[in-house]
Amino acid sequence: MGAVGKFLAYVFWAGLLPVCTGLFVCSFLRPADRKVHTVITLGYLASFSLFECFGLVILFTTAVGDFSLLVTLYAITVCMLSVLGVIRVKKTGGLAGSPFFELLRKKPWRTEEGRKEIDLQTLVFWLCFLALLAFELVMSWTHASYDGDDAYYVAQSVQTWQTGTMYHYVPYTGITTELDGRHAMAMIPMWIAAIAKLCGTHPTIVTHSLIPLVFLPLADLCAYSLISALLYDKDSKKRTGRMIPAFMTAMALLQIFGNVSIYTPETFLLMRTWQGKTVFANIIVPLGFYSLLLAAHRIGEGGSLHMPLLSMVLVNVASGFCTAMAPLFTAFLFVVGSIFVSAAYRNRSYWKKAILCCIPNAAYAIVLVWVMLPVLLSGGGL
Amino acid sequence: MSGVWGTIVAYSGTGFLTVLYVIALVTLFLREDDRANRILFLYLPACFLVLFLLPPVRDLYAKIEGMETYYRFLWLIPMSVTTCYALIRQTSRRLPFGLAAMAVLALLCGQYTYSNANILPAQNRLHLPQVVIDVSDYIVNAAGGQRTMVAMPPELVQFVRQYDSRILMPYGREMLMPQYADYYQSVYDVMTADVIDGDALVAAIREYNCNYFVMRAEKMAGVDLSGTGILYLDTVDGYNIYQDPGEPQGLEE
Repeated sequence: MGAVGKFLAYVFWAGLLPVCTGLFVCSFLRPADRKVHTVITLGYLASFSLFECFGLVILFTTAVGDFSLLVTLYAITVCMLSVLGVIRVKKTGGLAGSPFFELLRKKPWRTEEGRKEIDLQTLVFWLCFLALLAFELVMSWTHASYDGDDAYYVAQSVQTWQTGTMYHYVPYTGITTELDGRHAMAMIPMWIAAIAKLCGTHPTIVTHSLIPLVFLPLADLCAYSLISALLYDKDSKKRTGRMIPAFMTAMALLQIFGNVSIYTPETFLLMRTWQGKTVFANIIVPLGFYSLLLAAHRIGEGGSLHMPLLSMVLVNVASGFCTAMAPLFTAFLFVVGSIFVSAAYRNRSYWKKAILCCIPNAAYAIVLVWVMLPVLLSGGGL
Repeated sequence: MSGVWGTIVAYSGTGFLTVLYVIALVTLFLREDDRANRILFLYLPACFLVLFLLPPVRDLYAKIEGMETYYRFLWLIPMSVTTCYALIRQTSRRLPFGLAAMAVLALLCGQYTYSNANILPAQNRLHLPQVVIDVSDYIVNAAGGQRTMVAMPPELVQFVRQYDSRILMPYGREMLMPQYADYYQSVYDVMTADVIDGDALVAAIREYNCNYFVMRAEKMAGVDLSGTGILYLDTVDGYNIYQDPGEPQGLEE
């Protein structure tokens, strides 16, 4: 496979299939909830969740972590879910209308009617944002960001890619070791190795050059979801249409100029785009807030909580994919957040449902403690 | 980072985002009329901040994970989103002005990420130093593609196994971490000495059954390895590569 073929394979496995998996997830929602950004974000959450669940089962039930089995199982499942998703969405009412696609349908570059629909300020803001995003993507492609933690995570992906085993070697030195439970619970290095295997590319190329092309826009899409919910039903359609790209531009500015310390989510996003911590801070947490906000709106309107609860479950499972501590943080966010929402809207049931959504986190914590028991008994921390 | 305040100060860094966030919080407190937004972007983060400051929470976290990563608790406070939301709400009728103000502030007070010393023009698609690839390729070819133990200089250990996991090392990046400052590792100790002691170096690499070792050429100037059985193979990108022929090739899986 030539370089172009490998790149297209990467787009297929890391770009197209997670989105199509989102179609499957969204096919269980009412058509009005199937917005494009929802399909994409839920699709990635579902893909990460799926990989995490398969990965943990295979890690703990095969001798040295049968990576080939994991790749095969994951590939077959996401392909099947994608096909099913396309069919189910088509049969059950399609996707929700999107202002962007509506506008495209009116062909603003050709027809007078379409031109009238375009607001110049909105267009300029979107162009500003897209220019900043393009700048970030170009910089991520042309510049290397050296980070010490890559000696663990990226080496782990390379080790898995070359040996077909999972977490069987110390990545720093290559010496065989007992399972490092704390790090092994987060499957993101294995997902990167799997994508590398599926597109026939070195995992370090996938990690450093290709992952940012997906994760940077995905992080922005999460911010887009959040601002859409924050501005929900607040202003005229025209003004909201301007405020969203203005917000996105301001966010991109803060990302590019947000390296105020080595600890901020902005620094992680641009300097360690491929690490689980980054995915947690820039994708999982914003989607967690989005789920809570959506639930609050639905409770306020007396609407169905189906979608926010589904989103919460996926956020919870996918958080385990990022870091071992992430499920504890998301459970904490949802439990406290849902109590706040329930109290504000005098709703007695929402917080209980939110706690039920955290069952995967509890299961994750039990497995983590079980895996780490020898360390805990010897007086060490997780 | 020591203590909760130390964590906050380290997290805030220059303070640019924190100052903007505090202004945004005050603005939202005074002007936000949406109940859901107030709860989730004003009261909930305030609750998280209070919990973050509480010593029992800090102690519990430290017991589970250690204080090193306590700053991640602050990721639950959506600082950038709140700041940008407050900005566009406040300037909704004059958005170009609001955005221009943000751009000027970011340029003047922010820290441009790409000026960070750890970001450099990529030398290849792997985004690894080219010297690592050249040296590793040379050794893997010399070893016939088999797994082999190689002592690498400290400046390369972080990258080598990101390129090829068939190269095993007697010490890795852990020796460069502060928590290993008091840990003794003979190969690392000899390789990082100001003046290389040839006999001590050979003894150390044999202690760890290294097939090869790599040293910066200028550091090996004047080091006499004759009579030790060590073979000099080549110099690649300024690094001398040596082989210990007495060490059998091909490590077991």
